[in-house]
Amino acid sequence: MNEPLAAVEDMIRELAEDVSPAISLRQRILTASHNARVRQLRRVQIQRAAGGFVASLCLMCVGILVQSSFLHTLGSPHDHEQSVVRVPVLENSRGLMNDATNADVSQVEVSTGHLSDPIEWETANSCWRRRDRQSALISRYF
Amino acid sequence: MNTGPAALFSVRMRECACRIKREGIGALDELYDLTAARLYRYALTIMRHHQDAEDVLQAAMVRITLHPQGLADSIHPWAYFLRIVRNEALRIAKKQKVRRSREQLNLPEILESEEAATPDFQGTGISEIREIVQAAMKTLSPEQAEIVVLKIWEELTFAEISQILDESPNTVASRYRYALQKLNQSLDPIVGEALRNE
Repeated sequence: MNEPLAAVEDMIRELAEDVSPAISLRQRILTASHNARVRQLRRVQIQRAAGGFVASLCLMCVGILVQSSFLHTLGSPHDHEQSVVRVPVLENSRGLMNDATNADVSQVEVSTGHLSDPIEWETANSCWRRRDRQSALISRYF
Repeated sequence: MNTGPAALFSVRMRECACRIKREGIGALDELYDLTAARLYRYALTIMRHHQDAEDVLQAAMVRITLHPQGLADSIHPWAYFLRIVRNEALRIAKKQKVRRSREQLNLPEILESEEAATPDFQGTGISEIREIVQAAMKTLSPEQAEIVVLKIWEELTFAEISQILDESPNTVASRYRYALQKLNQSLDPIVGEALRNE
């Protein structure tokens, strides 16, 4: 390399650009990484727990549960166990939970007596049919 | 045995990679402290936008958290990590293509880079020279700038850079040379004075 170019190289080397990310980025990244890792573990948990191809859906928060592990909750705290339906989960190339949103509502099983009366079933059906919201949640969290 | 800064960094990087594979997310803070500033600088070179560079850094760190195996098993973990940053940068840049193209037409930025190409070197001190060098770097294309960063500041070989960029070593070397020639045009008065003073 000729002398001027070598000198340019030396100058750039000596004057390395001193930039730093925002201080808050450290915590943001640690939190995001932690959350991503939790979601990854839960995904594995779903795949293992859904061996029977049954997941549970909390109709209050439209959260998804597998073997009493709450994978996602929204809104104010409530007793998920009192508003849960069990849903069939089929396996396809797009993953287990996607098919839960497309399951036939007639296949939904009631997991607690709380939903066994007609009124509650109506609620269950209307909640279950809110597929857009459900799909959005699933794509966000899984 | 080479115990220079680059060699020590390389050793620490390998230790961090092994720790994060072994201990998981508990070792992420150490990896962040070791690499964040350098990765951020590289991401900024590609993205040219601070928030985008931070998003790139976050995406790359999350990726490493979820898949630490690749980093730990890599022959050159630092080059591997830089490649992940680059991939994430390209992915985010693609998503933000419309916004970025709008920003590239931002008049003040164009004027700023034009001013940087014809700076006044009279009576410049070290901090002013640093600013001039940084401004000169901004006159390079992103493709040229990232090679300069990887070669000079990250002290990678052309072979290592070619793996990160998925280009041939000859292409990388050629692009690097063009970049230095372009920088030389911008920095010629300073470089000339430095050579005369030697």
